[in-house]
Amino acid sequence: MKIHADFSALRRTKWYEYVIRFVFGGIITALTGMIAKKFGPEVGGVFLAFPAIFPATATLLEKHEKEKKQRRGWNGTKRGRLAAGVDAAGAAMGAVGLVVFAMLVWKKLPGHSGSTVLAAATLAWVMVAMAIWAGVEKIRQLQRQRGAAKSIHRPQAQ
Amino acid sequence: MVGGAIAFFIYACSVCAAMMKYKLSALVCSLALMSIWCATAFGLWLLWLR
Repeated sequence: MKIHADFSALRRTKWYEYVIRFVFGGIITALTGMIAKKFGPEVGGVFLAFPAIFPATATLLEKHEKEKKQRRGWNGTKRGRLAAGVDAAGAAMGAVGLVVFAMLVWKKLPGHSGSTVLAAATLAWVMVAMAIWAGVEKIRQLQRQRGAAKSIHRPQAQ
Repeated sequence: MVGGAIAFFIYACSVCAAMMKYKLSALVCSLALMSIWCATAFGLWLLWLR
């Protein structure tokens, strides 16, 4: 799959859809700060990886994909749900990167400069998430090729 | 945060599986399965970080 940026999606997104994401993200960030202040950073830290924006993003993605299909005269419900499912798969890949990010910050922050550790951890997050995505894409490509080869070599029914 | 991130991975995998297999609505799936995130994150916190 070729990676490309679809800027038309920005035009399709309505202002209140951005507001929903910012509000959810903002509320959870504020709550995390309050929890960390009351119960300590270990408990507050757990909420740094809370799926605050994911439900709003997945729901809006499902809606957009559904509308796109409906404009062409199809139902689009199944397509919308599949797109949101793929979004969740991407979130899982990002989550592995987030584990690496958190481990690096946890282990390296006490002895090094904060900005250096955060920059290195962010870079590690990008590299891990992209490497997993590339690996999954390679496996899917091989599966497609194997499937195509099987269908070519399958004996024809008499 | 490590515990939360591991929980987020399990949560995202569960949402992905539920949506791909059963074609459930994104809102229902993502909100209902948040219990998985809570159980995993606080389970890990109790077992490992506390």
